[in-house]
Amino acid sequence: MKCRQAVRAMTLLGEGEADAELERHCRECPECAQQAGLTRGLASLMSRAREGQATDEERLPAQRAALLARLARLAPVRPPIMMGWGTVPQKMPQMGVATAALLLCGFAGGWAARARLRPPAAGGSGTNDATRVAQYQVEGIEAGAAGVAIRYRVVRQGRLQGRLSDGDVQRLLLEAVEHPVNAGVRMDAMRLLGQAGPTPAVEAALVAALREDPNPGVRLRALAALTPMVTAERTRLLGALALAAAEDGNAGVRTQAIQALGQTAAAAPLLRAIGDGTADTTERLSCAAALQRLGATVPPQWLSAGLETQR
Amino acid sequence: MSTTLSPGMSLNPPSAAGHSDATDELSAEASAEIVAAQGGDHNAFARLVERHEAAVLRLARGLARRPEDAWDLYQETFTKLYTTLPRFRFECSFSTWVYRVATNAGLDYLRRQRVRQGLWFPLGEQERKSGEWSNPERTLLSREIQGRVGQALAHLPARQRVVFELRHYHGLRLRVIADILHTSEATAKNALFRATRRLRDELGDLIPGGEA
Repeated sequence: MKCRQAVRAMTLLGEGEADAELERHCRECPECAQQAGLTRGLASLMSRAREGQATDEERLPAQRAALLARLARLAPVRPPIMMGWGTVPQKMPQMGVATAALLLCGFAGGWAARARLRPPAAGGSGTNDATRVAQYQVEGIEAGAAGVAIRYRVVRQGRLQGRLSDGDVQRLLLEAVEHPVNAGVRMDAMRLLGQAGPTPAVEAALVAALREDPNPGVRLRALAALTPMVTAERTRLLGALALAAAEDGNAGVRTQAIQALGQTAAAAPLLRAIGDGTADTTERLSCAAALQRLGATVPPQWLSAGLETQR
Repeated sequence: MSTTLSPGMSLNPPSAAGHSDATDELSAEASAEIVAAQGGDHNAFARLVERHEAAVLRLARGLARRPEDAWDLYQETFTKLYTTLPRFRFECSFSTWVYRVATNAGLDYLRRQRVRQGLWFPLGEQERKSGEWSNPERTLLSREIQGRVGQALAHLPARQRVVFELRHYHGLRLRVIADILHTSEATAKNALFRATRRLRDELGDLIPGGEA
């Protein structure tokens, strides 16, 4: 097991799959053992945070009675009838089902088309027009002798317009940072969050993207957004940058992370460690340049390795 | 609810109370009860409510900001369950079905909260004093820690939060969580990984040895 796999396996302890392997790995790797300790510590902390929570269970009988009384007033639940086109409400006449379904599809299709073609809302800050059905995504089709069953998801579309400082705008941007498919959306969201200013949530989202996003372009964008946030006090951010500078699989990301670290004198020891640890001359050169900009001493052995001429 | 953690390598507890896997749950008796409820037997439905309400309430309490919101989620879940019960076709465990309905209600709630009220932050001082969450035991844990944990959970995207809640506080296995959320096990695993990582980042200084 490699360290990267071990880090993922830590969150899955108890599933039984990789526990033994992880334990073995932790015996050999003190860093992963420490990380595993932190993950256990987190579990303990999260549990303690709920320990004192009032259970309120004494209210359950009254709530249940109110619920059941309300449900008793609703129309009685009837078992479904299985027909050629699947499960339909009992009262609907069989012949009408296909017609109703066709009409529904027609209306829904037209509605969806209108929603997509509708022009964007007029300018102004803080508007959020009502969400509307924009698309039906078919997720699966099962065909059999009895008919066809289509599993679908309804996608709703909305438009939120506001200033970057608006909380709602920032929250949607934070969601967009984790868009599962579209890297362009993730990059746009990061660029804008970078302009919105440093808040703990923004910083955490950008740092998470820097560590985990599979797309190097997105990681570079995260770095660009994080760079202006670098200060000596943000030790967690400095740590994330140092990690990216030392371990990211993409040379561009590593170099830009080194440059980002060069924003604060507090990062000088990190830069020296990264420069010492890398076998890449360009990266060592970047570290040296960053140290020079900070007015810090460049280790003499780097200079003797030929960097002097490049300066 | 507390989670027992061994000093060993156990992040997540084994299956917690309130949930059991599909196979053992759908005994003949339980199945008969569900069928009876589907047929309109009100008493049978009441027994189903009684059997599953603790888990639903626990999930609602974990996700809701205020106690009253949790009770609303409880009511909403069982109302939906009542109206959709005829569609339950024994393709999964009934408790998975219940969790699915409760989780969907919870996700809707979280998204509504985010859009309407802004990110959750720990309850205000006044709310905390007058709220029903407070009890003498709870004061044992410092307000700062509770506030930080609440804030960190609130920063998680809705799905990550639900996955973490189901895994950590309900002890469900990822396979079951994926089933509840209608997603793949790999996606659920990824959501849990991201949630754990983010929580560890945000709460690192509260964890012994976390602030290196």
